[in-house]
Amino acid sequence: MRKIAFLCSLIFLCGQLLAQTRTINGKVLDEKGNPIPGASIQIKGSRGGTSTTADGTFSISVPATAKRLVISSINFTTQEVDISENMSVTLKAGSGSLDEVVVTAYGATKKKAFTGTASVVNSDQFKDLQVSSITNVLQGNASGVLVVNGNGQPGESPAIRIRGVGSVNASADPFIILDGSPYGGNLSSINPNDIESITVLKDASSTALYGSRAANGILQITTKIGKGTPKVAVSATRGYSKRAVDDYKYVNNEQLYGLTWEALRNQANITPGLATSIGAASSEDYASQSVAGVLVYNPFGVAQPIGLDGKLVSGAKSLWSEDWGKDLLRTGQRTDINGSVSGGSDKTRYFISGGYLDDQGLPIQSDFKRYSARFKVDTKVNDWLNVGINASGSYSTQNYPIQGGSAYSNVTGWVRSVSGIYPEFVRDPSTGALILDAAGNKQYDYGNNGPLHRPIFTPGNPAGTTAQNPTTYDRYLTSANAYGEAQIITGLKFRTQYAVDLYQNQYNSYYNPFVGDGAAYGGRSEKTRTNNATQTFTNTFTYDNTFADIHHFNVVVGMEAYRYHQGVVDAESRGFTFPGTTELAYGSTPYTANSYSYDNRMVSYFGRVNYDLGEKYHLSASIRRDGSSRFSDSARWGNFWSVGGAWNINKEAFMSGISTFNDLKLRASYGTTGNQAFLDNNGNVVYFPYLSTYSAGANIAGYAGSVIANPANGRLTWESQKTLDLGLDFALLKNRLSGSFTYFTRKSSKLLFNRPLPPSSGLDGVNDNIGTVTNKGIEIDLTSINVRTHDLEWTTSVNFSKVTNKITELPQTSITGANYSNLIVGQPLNNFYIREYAGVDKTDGAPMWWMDQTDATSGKTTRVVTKQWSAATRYYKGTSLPDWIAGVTNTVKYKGFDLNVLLYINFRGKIYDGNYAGLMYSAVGNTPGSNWSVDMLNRWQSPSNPGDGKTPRLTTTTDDQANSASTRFLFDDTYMRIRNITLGYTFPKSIFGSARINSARVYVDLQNPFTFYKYKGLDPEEGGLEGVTNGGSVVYKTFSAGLSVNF
Amino acid sequence: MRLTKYILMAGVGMLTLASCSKNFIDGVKPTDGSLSSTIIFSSKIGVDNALTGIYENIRDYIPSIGRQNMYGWKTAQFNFDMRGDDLISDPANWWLYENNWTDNAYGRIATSGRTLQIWALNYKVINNANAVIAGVPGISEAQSVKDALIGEAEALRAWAYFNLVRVYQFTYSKDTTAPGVPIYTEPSGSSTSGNPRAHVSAVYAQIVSDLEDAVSKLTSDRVDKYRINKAVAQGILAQVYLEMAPADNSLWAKAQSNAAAAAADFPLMDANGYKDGFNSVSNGEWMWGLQFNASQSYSYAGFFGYIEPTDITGAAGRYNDIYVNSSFVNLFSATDMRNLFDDATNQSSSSPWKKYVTLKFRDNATQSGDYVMMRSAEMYLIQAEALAQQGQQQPAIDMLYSLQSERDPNAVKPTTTDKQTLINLILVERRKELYAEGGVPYFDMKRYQLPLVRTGIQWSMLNIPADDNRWRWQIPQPEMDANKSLTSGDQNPL
Repeated sequence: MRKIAFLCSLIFLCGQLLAQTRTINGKVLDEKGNPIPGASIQIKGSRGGTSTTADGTFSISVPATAKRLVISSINFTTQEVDISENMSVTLKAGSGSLDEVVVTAYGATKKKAFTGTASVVNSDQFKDLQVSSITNVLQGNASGVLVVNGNGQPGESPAIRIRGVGSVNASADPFIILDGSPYGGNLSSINPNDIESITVLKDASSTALYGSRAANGILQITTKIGKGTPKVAVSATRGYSKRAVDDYKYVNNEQLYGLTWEALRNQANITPGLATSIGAASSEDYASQSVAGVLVYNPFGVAQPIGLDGKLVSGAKSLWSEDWGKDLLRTGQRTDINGSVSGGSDKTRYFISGGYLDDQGLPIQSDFKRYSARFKVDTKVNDWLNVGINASGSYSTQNYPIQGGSAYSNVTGWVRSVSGIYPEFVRDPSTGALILDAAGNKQYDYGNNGPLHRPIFTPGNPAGTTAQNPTTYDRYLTSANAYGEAQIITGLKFRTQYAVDLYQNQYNSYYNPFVGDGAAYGGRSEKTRTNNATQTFTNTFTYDNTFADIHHFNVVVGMEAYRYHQGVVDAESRGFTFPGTTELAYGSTPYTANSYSYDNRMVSYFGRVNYDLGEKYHLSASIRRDGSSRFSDSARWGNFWSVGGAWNINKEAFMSGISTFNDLKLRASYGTTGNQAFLDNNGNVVYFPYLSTYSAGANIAGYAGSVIANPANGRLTWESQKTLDLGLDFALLKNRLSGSFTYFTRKSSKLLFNRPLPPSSGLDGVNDNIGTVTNKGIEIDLTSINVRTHDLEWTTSVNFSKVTNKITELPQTSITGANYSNLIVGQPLNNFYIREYAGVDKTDGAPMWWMDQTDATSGKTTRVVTKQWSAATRYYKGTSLPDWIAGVTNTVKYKGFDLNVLLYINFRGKIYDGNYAGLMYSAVGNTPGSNWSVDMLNRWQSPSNPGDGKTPRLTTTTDDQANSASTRFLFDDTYMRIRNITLGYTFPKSIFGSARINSARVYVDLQNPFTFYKYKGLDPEEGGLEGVTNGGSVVYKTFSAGLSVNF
Repeated sequence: MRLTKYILMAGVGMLTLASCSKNFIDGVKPTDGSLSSTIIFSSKIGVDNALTGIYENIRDYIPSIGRQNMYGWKTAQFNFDMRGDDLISDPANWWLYENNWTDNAYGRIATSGRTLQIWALNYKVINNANAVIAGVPGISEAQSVKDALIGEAEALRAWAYFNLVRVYQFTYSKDTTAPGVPIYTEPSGSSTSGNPRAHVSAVYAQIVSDLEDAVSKLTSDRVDKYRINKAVAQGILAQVYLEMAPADNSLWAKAQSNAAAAAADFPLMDANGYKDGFNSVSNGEWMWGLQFNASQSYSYAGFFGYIEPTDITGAAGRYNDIYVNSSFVNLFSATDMRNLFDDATNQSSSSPWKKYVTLKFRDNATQSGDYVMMRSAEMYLIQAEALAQQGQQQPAIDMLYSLQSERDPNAVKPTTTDKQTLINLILVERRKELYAEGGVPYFDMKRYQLPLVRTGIQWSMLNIPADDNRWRWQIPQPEMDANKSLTSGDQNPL
């Protein structure tokens, strides 16, 4: 209550302050007299400000005492002018991009003084992007940042790696700082409309001040704050989604039956006695007699639909053909409504927002809804004290039907697995007519309604079960971040900041008692409640002063305490009677009850000195000392440091005659960072990785037991990383062309790793510091203003990143990694260590692989083919990590129109398409009735009809192992995707007349409209960072239209 | 500016929190269900807790690369049953690869999950047992209490080495100097770098010494049937001597005497007991069994989920995917109470091997049926075989018939005078009595160095000679990678 009262009084205060103002109107023009839209108008000596509209005009309320305005705009020289009525200000083209501000650890700096490397993504770049999680905006917008949207489910965040993968058994996710404090919630709980900018900090001089948690880069997320005249902004967007790439092409009913017949025929030819065992006259007869029995469902209405020639008998035709893609996937709909009020005076700035989002996914029932509110205010209490608070609350609910893996209820996997001969609803096999229940309703076919079962995924049918089996994640986030800043003497400030994120994630899963996965248990319901409290208390002194006009110092000294607690309660009940009663109270049998908790605490001390000499030479040095509860008493403290320098060459006298360069800066930095986020095999953080433990819960009936879990390692300490960064920033031709080149090396050593022990030790491994991984690369950023006239402006921005990843040190020759990878010195992470497919033996249609054969006498190794998969040699066949990635953004503004096109390119990298492997199975006995790709029609059929040479013969046993992992299903992942096309129109203010509308904009947006990729059906991002597909969901293409109005 | 002075002082004060930081960081301890070994080895209760954990590991362990049908030792045993001639899997469902001896993730190749399950499960038993053997002397309990705890750990350790040496090498009698498996008798730690493969004879020496010591230390007391007591240790010892005796004929007598002593307190069950579904340790013939309660069940992923055929609609999550070879079914007389074979009613004529299913195993109401680990019928058969091998033909027949007559009221007493014929009869009886209980037919073929020759109509008609490399499982790749005492030459050939 006291907090609410306090907030109310602050709002009241704002009103008071605003009352003592006068309004000034004006216009900002360039040297040719063209209006400059979006120019910033600041009241000198206060925080009040506004910006110009599309026609270059502005209107600002200024305190009676205010004297001057500061006018600035990107690519123009900042000007200071006296306040007058109906002002007209002309800005000179000049000082370039290096005047931008970069948000750094515990402060901000001008880009020209910045010695490190950062990419800034501003709200301008993502305001129209239809994303539900803020990090979705990074793909293609920031160099050095690999973003993979492995999942289409709304509310999920993409995988992000900054400058390659630097950790193996420890989290390689970037560290997320929200308004100066580590963020302790889920990314999807943040409303992207509240975000002003995301700064990606990449090199050591910008990250080392966060020391131990910064090894994999930092995302600094800054929320919006108001300035100038009160502004009310309202926007609404409506969108529609479908798959970004079309699904695989499947065989039809007739083809499915024909192929199955052929497999049976082939097997009868291979296995003697098989045909006679059922009294068949020939292999063909055996196949014709058996095929309907093997597939169980027969949509042709005749008992033996396939004749001895393997073709549909005359008169037989398909009575039904189910399109599961239509039954289980839909057009997603998206509604996003946001409103905000913001403004500021010379003393107080505020931003209040609310948002509602409803984002439906393509799988039936898939949905994400978010309700969010934020209140941010800061105020100058008196001449020495500033205080502020940023408080937000968010509730989101996500219905997340299973999309991936082998569960029967996997909606996306079902479409790719169950062929069209199996209907959604129960049908009469002789006529194909629907069989209705007593009430006249269609009945879902779970595959077990007759004496013979559907041979695949029985009993199951997600069309029937998905609505009855909700899987939801409800997320509650309450955040508050308050600070006070006192000026002690001129130049010296003390700031204290306390941030708390209270985050609860409620996982609920329910399986109904009637049909599907839950029937075996009489229905089951599981509830997991995870509560996180993240607190950070930060105190800093900042000293900023200039001596003798040219020696500028900025010194930061501080300490930080971090406290994290997570408590989990999990319970399950079984035996449910009624549909939809998901609460445990309705279950008859409490099944499990469990709780556990985790803690992490850290204490840190840090300091940084920035020095610049006449804005020509910049030096930066920082140090941080971190202690963490994750390591033993003797190993928990780590020191991390950095040095950096920058030289603004164009400020040198010798450059004064060269007008080509507006900016030219060389920069270099070197430093260390660390990582403590040890992960277990399931990707969960290990909180006490150094302790020797028995693990409880190994119970037999009612007898409690425990087993040895982990051997002790008191020496376990921080993963450490050394980063070298060399860069050149420039702006030329009156800032028409600007950009930067950066070269970096990242060497991660003492990797946090569960060092494998021989399994014969009875232990899986010991948590240890082992091995080294390096990432080396270059990043190029270029921005060109191609055309700039009175009405037309066309800008092109390109970012390019190339990273080479390599394992350079291991404690043993090789370590089996996740998926198909094998860790070995000289190879990259996420590699594919896999058998190499050698095609089909044209004489018998059997699949073959390559094998190294060493001659016993000569010792010479040659490559030969083998038909025994297990005997084939495994080779290193590339990595899922791309060679290089690039983003290209084109922006065209013409009068009131604006057009923005973002293109993303991923070059090389491999993807193993498990989906496709499943669609190309050759052993029919293994998965009869499973869907086939149309590529199966190019199989080997006989020596004279050998097919495409890649697709082997069909059989019913698994002896051939044709589908076992090999390069047959490993594909190049080079692709290009138009991430976004936005076309907007801003109405001229004149049309609103006396209506109190400041500006209005309508726009249409196409997200992921075009994907250029060689392999049809496969989404190049579905494999995620690991590059392996497994029946998952894919990226969506979204069409949306929106309106935003400012009052 | 007095105020600012205070602020400055306050700020400096905060920075000097340095002195408190140790307490702040040390203020947290694990609360995630982990325990320290000092708590475990503080009392008998703690050691009982650690021993229970070993049985849970036997019941539940699955490696990180394991598949759904790799929970616990029961599934590893069933994997061997599926490699015999008597059971047939649905070629479209679980166990097809085991049934077909396919060299993939379910097979005997180094990269498979199944070989890692077998290897790691048993070595986890060994390491946990080693920790008990090392830790018990330090607890303050009576010597007899400590002896029993150590004896039980020794029996568990021997049981695990016996599992390993039988899987990763040919039988003892084929070559006692062949490389067996690495031996560990001390608890492992972070510096354990791996031991070399010990000779088969050394592994058996370790097994026998552990079991003889265990038999001397254990009594018939135990808290419940999941724990190994003296009788169970004797039963394991009888199995071990049976395996070794072809190389040392003096051991037949030891196999016989240990089997007799082991079975003494466990009378054969009657017909009703046999039809109860093999799901409860309350069966008086069961000598050793691993219990479940409802919350420990793995439902359809457990053993019963595969073998039980009663769930025709599939609603209870059963796979209905294990069939019985009709040539095996034909070995049972109509009056044999073990003739629990049912027509595979839900299957189609197009798959001629889908003719019979077995009702021997049926889960209990909460899908948490207990797993049988040892029962006295096997002890009768061990005695019969050992007697026959020692040339005591009639006592051997009497012993065999004592079981046969219990199972079938119309059983006819064998009259053969030929030793080998009698042994063959006993081996057939072992299949009939013990199928799907522990891979008995598979290990009997290995024990007597017999080939696998599939009979009847099966989708996988295999013929595997007795000396084929496929009988020796490959050591898991993670062991080859991490064990500093092994080189690629130590691997069993493909």
